[in-house]
Amino acid sequence: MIKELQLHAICICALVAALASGPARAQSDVVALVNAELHPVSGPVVPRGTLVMSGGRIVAVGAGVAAPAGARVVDVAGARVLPGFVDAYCHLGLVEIELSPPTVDVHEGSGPVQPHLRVLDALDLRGLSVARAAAAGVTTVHSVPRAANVIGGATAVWRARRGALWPEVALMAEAMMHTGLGEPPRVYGKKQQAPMTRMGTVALLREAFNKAASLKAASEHAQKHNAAPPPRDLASEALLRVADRSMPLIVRVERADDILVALRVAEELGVRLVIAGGAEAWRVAAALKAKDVPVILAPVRVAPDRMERAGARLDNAALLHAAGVRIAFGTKESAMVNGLPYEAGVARSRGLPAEAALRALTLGAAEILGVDKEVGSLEVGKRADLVVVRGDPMEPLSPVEAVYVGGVSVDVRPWERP
Amino acid sequence: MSPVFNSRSPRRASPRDATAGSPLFAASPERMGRAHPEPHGVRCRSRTLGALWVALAASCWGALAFAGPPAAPIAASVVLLRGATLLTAVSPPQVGDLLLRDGKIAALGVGLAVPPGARVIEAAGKYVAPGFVDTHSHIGVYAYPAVAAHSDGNEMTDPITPHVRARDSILGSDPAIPRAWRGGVTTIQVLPGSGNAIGGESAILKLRGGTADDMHFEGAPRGLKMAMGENPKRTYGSRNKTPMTRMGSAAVMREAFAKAKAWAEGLARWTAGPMKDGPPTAELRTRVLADVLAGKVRVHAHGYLPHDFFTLFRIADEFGFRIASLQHALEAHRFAAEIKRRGIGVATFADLWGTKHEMYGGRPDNAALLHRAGVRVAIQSDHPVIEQRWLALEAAKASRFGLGDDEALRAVTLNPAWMLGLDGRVGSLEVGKDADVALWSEHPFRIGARVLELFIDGRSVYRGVAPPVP
Repeated sequence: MIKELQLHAICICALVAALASGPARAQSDVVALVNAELHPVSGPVVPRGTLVMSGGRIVAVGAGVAAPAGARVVDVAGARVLPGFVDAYCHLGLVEIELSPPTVDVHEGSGPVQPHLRVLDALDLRGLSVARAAAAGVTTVHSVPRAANVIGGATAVWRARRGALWPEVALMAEAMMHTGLGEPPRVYGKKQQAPMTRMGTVALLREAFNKAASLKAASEHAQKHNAAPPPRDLASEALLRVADRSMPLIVRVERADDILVALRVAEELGVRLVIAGGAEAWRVAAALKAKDVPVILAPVRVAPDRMERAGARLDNAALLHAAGVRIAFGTKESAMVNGLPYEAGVARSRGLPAEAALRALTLGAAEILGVDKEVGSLEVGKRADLVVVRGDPMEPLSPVEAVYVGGVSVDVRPWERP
Repeated sequence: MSPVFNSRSPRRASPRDATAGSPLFAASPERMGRAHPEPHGVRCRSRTLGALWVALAASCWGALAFAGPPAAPIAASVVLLRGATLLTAVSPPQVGDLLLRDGKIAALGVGLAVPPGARVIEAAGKYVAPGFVDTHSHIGVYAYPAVAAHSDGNEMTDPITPHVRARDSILGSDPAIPRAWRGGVTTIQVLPGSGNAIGGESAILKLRGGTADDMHFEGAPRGLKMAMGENPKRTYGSRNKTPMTRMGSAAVMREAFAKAKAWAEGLARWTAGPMKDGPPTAELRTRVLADVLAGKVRVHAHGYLPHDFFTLFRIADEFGFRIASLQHALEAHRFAAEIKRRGIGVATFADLWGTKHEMYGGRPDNAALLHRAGVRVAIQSDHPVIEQRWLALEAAKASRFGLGDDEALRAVTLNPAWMLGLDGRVGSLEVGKDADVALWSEHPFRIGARVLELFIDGRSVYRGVAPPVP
């Protein structure tokens, strides 16, 4: 009881703090960053240029751009300005304090097949972890459930601004259908429940799609014969959106042969596939390329801490890129999303070309997530979500000087005002 | 020889003197290691034997920990690293040569003569740093992969287990060790986990490879893991056992120390008295804690919140033992003055925070704020929480958040060595110190820096491949 009260007190404090530190709109919302080394990602670097934001969007960017009259002019003195980074696979908003259950909504462990769940329905945007992600320049996040469910629900893509309301930061309410293969779902086996094995896991996945297809057939049959439709099944409805390719299947999988299983099953079901984790993806790079399946390396710095990650290599990103596989980076974190740029840095130091590393950190990730019309590059019309950094953004020694989300400067030292 | 290197004071007084003059930490475990341990429980019939027993009783638990053959003699090899930027940890970075001979650093300077038979490594444009030191690792007690068979770091059957020793759990073939070489790490303290209020004795290893005994850092002082805050109460509280609260944790600690103190006092009375009966007996756990009270074991205390460390200080003051380091201590900057007054070091994370309630106040400038307040800080990995090989990246982050490159380097070399009582042996490039040295392709705080070669006791344990020129 005491513990519960304490937690409530902390939640209330967090809420008050979030409300207090909510978006403080400047009098004029036109902001011009001048003397910037612009890295648009979608085009070549501009050594000295200006970027103008208004109404939460980028309205002008380039070398010959002048700051409009009345704009608040910020001289960044030669610092680099880049699009905000994209954490393409994390638990932000689903986990605030990992070991405190009231703040954790990342795993619906009541059953292994739950396609009707939506990450969106659990997201808490008030946490300090959101502020700390943004402070490191991570402004777009793909929040996913844990991989211990065979089908864990629909993921969400949003822009990291602490204390915002969902509609203000939403990019994709139901982005991808999350699936776990390999070791994690076998946790049910300990309870003498399916799945206990990899084959059991894949059978559950195929059975769920089989059920959805049967329901669809029954529904069509009923329509054709003017009969009563079968009762609604939210799980099947969600999977039918995957089956009709409007939503990709994202499979968290590490071992090379498990990745091949994912490719085989995706082929059988006729669904779009994204691989996340992918510790041994380098071993099956050709197969991934042949099917144009992107890989979200989550993370790059993988330790051989599980049997399924025994073949992890730090040059995984470089090898995949060289084979023509599209890549992005993820942290699989919540409190430590801020580490994302270093993952890109390590990939680069192990042979991934610098431009490819930056692209995977921004526009490339946005493309894989399907949000590249909104974020991922410095282009007119896109969200004014950007990072001002002194030096190489992938080096730990480089200070992040400012971060803008929707054209509004966010606190880059949020730990001072938690 | 460069006048720069010659004129430099060969030894900085402050770090070493802080422990050298202390009676608490003056006992030489190396000597204890050579004493022949008596079997526990021997009844002493004669006065001479009895006196010997007493002498041994006070130390033999250390002797047990350090018994065994002295380290094998180091092969007489001579290596000259020429023209590298030397990150000495005691002076600003300078270009120069470094000579390793007979397992020790024999000379630093510019234009050192090549001794006969020396292996010369042309290292212009490269960096040489002391092998990194970490006060907090679980290599070998939580070996890769993290399967149940490798879970040997927490003896969570009793909240007070000072008598267990990490050394007895270590899997020498943990793949984390060759990986740690790639991060330039040479000395680690392997601690038991924090599930118990008193978790057991640490093992201090030089990562030479081989078994725990091959890697044992001969002469290293003993260390004891204590744990404040959430972990012990979560471990036992969830089983409806003591401790369920912080007050429960403090109580079991106090009870254990009270017993140890009573036994030590009884032993002293028996020694001084007529000795008609045998000496008072005690379990191993009590004898280890008596060694702590006698200043023979360095206490490394896990915790996060200020009030937990004030509880620790109350207990330490009540029973009269000193603390060598606070481990994690994410909010230590809030009571830096008290830490400084007590002469304690703080080993903290660079920016890890938020995993538990007690970690929610963590901030990445904790180390910088502590340093500014005059407290010696180390950056830790808590491997496998952060993998051992990435310690340099952690130090780089601490540097960026205000610690600065020089101090951040000390935070993974000289300062942790000082907390372990080993700053006379390792942690800097100084003549006479152990030749534990890494040759880096670039400054180790650059994310792409690679270890090109790693020496421990002057022997090459790892050779890396230079990254391709971009």
